[in-house]
Amino acid sequence: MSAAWAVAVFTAVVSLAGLMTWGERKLASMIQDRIGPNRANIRLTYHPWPFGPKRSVNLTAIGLFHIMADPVKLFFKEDFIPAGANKILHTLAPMISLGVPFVVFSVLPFAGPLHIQWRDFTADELYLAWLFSGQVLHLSDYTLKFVVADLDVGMIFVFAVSSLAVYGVILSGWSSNNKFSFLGALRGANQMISYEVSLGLCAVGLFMIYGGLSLSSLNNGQGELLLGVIPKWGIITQPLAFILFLTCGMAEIKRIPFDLPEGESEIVAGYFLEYSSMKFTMFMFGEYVEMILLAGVITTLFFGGWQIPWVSPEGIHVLHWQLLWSDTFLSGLGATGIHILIALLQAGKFATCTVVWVYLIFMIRWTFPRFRYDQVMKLGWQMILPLALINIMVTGLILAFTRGWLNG
Amino acid sequence: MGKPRQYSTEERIYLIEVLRGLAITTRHFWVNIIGFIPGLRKLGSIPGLRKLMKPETVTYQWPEVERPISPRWRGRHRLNKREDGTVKCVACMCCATACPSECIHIVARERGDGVDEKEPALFEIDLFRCVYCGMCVEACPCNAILMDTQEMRFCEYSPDKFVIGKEKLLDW
Repeated sequence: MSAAWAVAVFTAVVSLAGLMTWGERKLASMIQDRIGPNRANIRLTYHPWPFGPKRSVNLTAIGLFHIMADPVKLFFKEDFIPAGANKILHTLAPMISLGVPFVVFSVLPFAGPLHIQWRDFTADELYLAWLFSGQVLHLSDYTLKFVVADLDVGMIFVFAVSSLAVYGVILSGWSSNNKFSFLGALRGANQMISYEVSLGLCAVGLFMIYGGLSLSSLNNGQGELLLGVIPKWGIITQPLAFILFLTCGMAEIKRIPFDLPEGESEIVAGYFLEYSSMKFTMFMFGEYVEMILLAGVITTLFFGGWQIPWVSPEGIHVLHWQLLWSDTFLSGLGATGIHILIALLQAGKFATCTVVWVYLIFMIRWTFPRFRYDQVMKLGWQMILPLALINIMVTGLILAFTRGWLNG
Repeated sequence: MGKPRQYSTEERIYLIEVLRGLAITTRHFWVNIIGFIPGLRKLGSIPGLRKLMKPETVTYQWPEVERPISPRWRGRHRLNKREDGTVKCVACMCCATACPSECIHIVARERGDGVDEKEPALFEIDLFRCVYCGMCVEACPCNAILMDTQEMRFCEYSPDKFVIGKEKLLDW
């Protein structure tokens, strides 16, 4: 439906995931008082004069060339399939692991709806409606939505598709014919299915407050202000759900401290132990994409998504004070120009918030030791699940008694 | 093994400990990042900011930057010379006897010039076998074998090049 946004989102996510392969190692080295990757280089040799000696300059670009060096190395490695492995499932598993997280990005809105009043579109130009998602109200009015697919069941879609990732884990572990892989896959399946329950329950409070499952309605709700000042973000209205959601999310993407399925010190590399070459890369890359996905979902649910507090396409509103864009130097751009500018700012805010969360997920990964298996199960079933249920009940009670006040 | 330590309530809540741990890693991260930005490094000359701006990394960018070596550091061996330039070793076999890894091989011969009675005809050290313990230097009665060349990089294309003889030992 909106091929242009699909390409844009895919490109952005792949670029960020590629940068993260370098960023994570550099960040880890900085935390551990090391220097980190800085050896991959491009040596440029040039003649400064037509005569005289050659000179060469070594470009290392603070290790950024490792992003290129690593895939090249992995690409030329042997693609190994163990003797007893199921070849079809063994090949299918990395595709699932990498493909599934990409699908979820299709429902994350990354900027507010853009209302364009331009000129009368001719019938030939209506292919725009196919390229970009949105709706044509009138031939001269076009509402552009910055989302690949604005589904009414957005959040259900996120949970449904992201839970498919468990197939990548269990298929890879089971089809490898290796006991370590199988152990890793069992741990992964157990952990992901356990935390899936709490993950869904944590978000229920948000659906109750903002009254909708679609991510656009969640984002629109978070644009309101509490008492005229505080932005009504998910983290303000549902602080407990936020902490629980973050914990469950970390468990879902199998990051430290929930990296039991990989557990290098216990089961070598867990479910992707028997993978090499580009298949291994697909698992690793899928993990980074999942990390961006978690950051994006946290941003959308708890940090207002693209909503910049107090800033709207019309102006800035705080309490009864307001500044209209049309009164400022921006008025020269016209209503549509200002609207496009604000949409760009909103996309920037969404991207910034996502990158900050990716950074925080990195920090958590390089700070904590791994949980023990029984601790993971105890945390999931005995702590997070009851707390999530209590959170839903308390939210419901508060909404029942203060409807009208909290919802304005 | 004793009983595991009982955790306090503060530790059992875990979230406080999480934040405390994150504070440590975040401090390390930003101190090192700020210290590596060349423009900000100058701010380190301000007394109050010196500690903040100093990166805590201790990495030497070897081989571009050499690590300073202590004079007592034991590197490749050498044989000492007399004032007339001849070898100081009298082939007493003390070093070969003291060597725990048996990497020194000496063949003695009579010394014709009257300076001393014996000299080594063959003095070979197998650098692959050597454990660089310095026992030979301790054992030597006439200060003939030393390990103070400060040489740590010896690379060859063939393993038999690592059995070094008198010529290499006297060449320093």
